Amino acid sequence: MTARMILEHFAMVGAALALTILLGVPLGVLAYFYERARRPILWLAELLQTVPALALLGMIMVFLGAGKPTVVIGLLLYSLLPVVQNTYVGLSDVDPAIKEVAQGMGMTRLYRLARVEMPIAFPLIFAGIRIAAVTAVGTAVFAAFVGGGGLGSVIYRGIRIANMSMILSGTLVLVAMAIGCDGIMALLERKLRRRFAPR
Amino acid sequence: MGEIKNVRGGKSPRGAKKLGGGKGLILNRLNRALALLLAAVLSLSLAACGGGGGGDEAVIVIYDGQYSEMKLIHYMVKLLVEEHTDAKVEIREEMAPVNSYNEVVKGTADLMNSYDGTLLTTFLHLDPADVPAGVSLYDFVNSEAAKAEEKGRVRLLDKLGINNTYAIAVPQQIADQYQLNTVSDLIPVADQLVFGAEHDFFTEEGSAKYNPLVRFYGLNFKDARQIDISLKYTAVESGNIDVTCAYSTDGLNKKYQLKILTDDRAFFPEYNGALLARADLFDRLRGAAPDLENVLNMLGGIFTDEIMTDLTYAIDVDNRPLETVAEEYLSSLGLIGQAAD
Amino acid sequence: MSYFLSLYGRRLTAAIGTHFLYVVVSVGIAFVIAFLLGILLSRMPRQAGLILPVISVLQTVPGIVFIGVLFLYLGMVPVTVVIALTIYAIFPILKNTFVGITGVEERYKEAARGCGMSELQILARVEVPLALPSIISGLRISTIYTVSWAVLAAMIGLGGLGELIYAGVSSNNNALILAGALPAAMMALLFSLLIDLLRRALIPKQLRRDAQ
Repeated sequence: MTARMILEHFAMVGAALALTILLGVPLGVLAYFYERARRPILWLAELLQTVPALALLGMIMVFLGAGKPTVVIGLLLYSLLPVVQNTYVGLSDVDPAIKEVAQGMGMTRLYRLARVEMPIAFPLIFAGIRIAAVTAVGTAVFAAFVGGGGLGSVIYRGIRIANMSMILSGTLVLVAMAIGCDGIMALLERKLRRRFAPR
Repeated sequence: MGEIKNVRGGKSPRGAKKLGGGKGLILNRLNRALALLLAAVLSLSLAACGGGGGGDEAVIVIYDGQYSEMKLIHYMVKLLVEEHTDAKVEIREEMAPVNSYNEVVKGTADLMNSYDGTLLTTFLHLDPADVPAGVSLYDFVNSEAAKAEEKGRVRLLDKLGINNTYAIAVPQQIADQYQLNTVSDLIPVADQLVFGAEHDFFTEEGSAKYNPLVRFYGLNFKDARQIDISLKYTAVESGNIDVTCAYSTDGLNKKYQLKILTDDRAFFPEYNGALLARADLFDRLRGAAPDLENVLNMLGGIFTDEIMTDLTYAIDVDNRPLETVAEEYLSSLGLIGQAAD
Repeated sequence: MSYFLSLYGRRLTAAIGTHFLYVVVSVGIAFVIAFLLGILLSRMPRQAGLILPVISVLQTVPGIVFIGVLFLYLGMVPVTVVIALTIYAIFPILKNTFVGITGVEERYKEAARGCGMSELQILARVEVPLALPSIISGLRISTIYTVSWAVLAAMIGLGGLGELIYAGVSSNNNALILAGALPAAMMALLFSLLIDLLRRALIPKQLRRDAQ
């Protein structure tokens, strides 16, 4: 195991997570705004989740070829569900009274979203993002099957030759990375929450 | 990505909120979106650096394999080509053999270690029963592979000398207990034994599979379990399965003291190891490596099943570095290291 | 298609049944554990800050490592699969229960206290009902995840749709992959519908804010 593998793993997860947020939160908002878009969006996110990782990566590889971009897109599709779903649920659970007050104050739809609804829904949205981050660290081991590198190769080799210490060292680094990611997210959450705080 | 977001989000915006109210907030949000986008692009381009590259005409691209035999052969290709020609060999990250084959056909890779039996069944979706009488499996797949359209044409180079076929194996202790030497010896005792192997041994298509095997030999196992290939040996060792299907050149057979039962009625086809190359590779590298095919064929016939078992045992069980094992073996045959002497 | 069914039909129906059972049992157990633990942790937010990340991190351990290690100790029995799936399924429910309950505004609890409710009553009549949307959302994520994670069972010889998927992936047979993946996707949609019904039944109309 080398530092390069760890970095690669981290880079793939980071890129995928950034894209997940960029795509997932707007999708959640869309599902919340438009009743008609709701079911298709949520079902799509759920469906993606049920495609086996290896099959999904195989399909993406047809378009993007071998390597890290394939893994990043695969992770993105896999991480959508918690983000989309929690964004949608968080927004729709905002107290209607608050929404009415905001509307009464003459706020536009988007302004209301940014100023009132998003801040209230923020904890749940962020919980979704954190779930996505931790899951992505684990899922990225599949990179070893499509030429993406990362920690997966160590772990699979360890399993293949039944070398417990190799499996455990790979897994420990993976777990440590997940703890690290979660820690960074927790810090970020506190910072953003303070700034986003409704009152 | 977290850090960037943190730095940009942490400092100025909080002040801005106090001062500017709504307007500031919108700006912050823009800022954050930009930072995120930046982070995404950065990490993507970082990622792209690993996968991209190439373009240089005299480079042979190989995607590495997931097990030692494949990795070893790939590294030996690199040693031979870089010593005897002006071409370079780039061994990229590992991937599953099926994916690697697809990359070779597409032209993003040039070469891989493979087997005539694998090319036949897994890649060309044919069956040993399709091989006409009197034609060897090896010749048949090469002629079938040549029928593909120009762009995806591949062929096998000389046989390496290993026949990494399926082999029915039992732990030594069970072999002793039931006096087992051949697969036929299993017939009377099969109903006391659990068979277990990886999933693709259980597909209904193809002839070198579980159902045809038990029908052919008249075996009646107590149970048949489909288990992940990487947990197979653990399952054998812990006694969860008694009989398994192994690969004849796998160093792990030695580690787990598996006894290979002779396929006395010749059920399994051959799986001759050979390099699988794009047909247009040799034309493309004519300048840098006019002799490339001969160089690659230096690997032809230099192994036996026993030699390969020992080499992979050294890597997988004794944990010797693959590079050293490859170099030692090639120089012991005088295939590399001559120019320097 | 009919040829494929004649080859794999019996294996397919058996696999769907097994898969379904693994999901229902594991998510059922996980829900009870996660719900109770979530309430417990919401009473001690400080400890929760330490415990939650640890549990979330279990999620990262690759399925094959986790089930491989469990397999060493427990052997080739369904319990191994159920334990592994349960542990994976706990986290989203736990996290959402915790977030939901700690997210209940203080003024509602104050009001309940003012009405003379005991802490237990407040929990049962105010906090849990208000947190239900979040809890059920967690349940849904867990269930969907578990449908796809249950393919792990096939890694240790215990059937389910994973059998077809793994066989398809390793023998380069797309029909076989689909034969495993499509029923899994439909199963996930079915569960999703059931959970929608549950949400409708459990959450009082006034609290169902998406209904307006």
